[in-house]
Amino acid sequence: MNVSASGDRANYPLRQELLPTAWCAGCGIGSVAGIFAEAVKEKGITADALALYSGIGCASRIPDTLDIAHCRISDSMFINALGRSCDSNNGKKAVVFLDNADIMYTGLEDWVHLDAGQDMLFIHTNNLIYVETANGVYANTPFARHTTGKSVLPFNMSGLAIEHGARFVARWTPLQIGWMKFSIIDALGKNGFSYIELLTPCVVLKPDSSVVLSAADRMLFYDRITRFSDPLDCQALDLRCPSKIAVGLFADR
Amino acid sequence: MAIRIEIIDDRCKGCGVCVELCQFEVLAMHDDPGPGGKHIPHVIDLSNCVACGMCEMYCPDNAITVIRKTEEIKIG
Repeated sequence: MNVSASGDRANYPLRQELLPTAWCAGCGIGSVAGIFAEAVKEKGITADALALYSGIGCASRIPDTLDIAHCRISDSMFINALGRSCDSNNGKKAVVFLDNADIMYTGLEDWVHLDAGQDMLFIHTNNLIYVETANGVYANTPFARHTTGKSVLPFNMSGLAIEHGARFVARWTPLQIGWMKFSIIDALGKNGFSYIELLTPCVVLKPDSSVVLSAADRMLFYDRITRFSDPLDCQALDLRCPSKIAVGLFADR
Repeated sequence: MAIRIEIIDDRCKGCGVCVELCQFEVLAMHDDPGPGGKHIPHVIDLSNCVACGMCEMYCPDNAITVIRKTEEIKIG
């Protein structure tokens, strides 16, 4: 009898002893960890060839689940510190697990100083949380949606990455996690700055009853609100668009 | 091809994504909460399984493994 490799997760670079993870039930961050491990295995990259980085927030714990050396930067100058660290990682491919908390903490100003030719892959779990107060961080209503409180402009990090000269840019939701795996495989083979965004909102409420959607219901929600964009259609990236959210590959150069 | 689905109860948080995404109604959630008070999935009809691996791929906690066993054929 032969057992196929796809049925043997013990061989993946996942640290089995650290499972289950600390994330909420059904959170897309857990999917990112598993899919990244599979992508690394399929690409045939050894742990020695990778250097993982993360900052603060839930997504910063993804490298903890992987048996690959990683560095956590809890610095208000995250991007600057990242650039300095990557310069000294002896040619290893840098993979950065970015969280919205990193962006809120550091601001986006540092992005303009990021060297677009630097060999970095950003995997951003955009949980659509924007508001930070003294008591913590909260979800807020995206711009142009109905609300009784304030609305905020959603991040358009994919658009920013394209403007910054990223070689590879893609956006997915947990429903398209299989597509995301192929994006990670492609991006790991690119030299230079790559960016992959996973839209995985922390909380989704039913507008009529304010009931929080379960993880399973959220998959149906993702199916309803997303559409596969035309390849390389950068104009579709704006999350303020009242129609469906565009997912897919947006830059490959 | 023989198929086996392994569910590691200790890892599962009972989100139900695997049950929702299974196209062939192989999995269902337990009606009664298990240890820790969470409802975990179990296999109800393995004969329907085509080993597509959707449950394995989507599980955020790597709690499901689809094991596909094939008979080795010797020629000569």
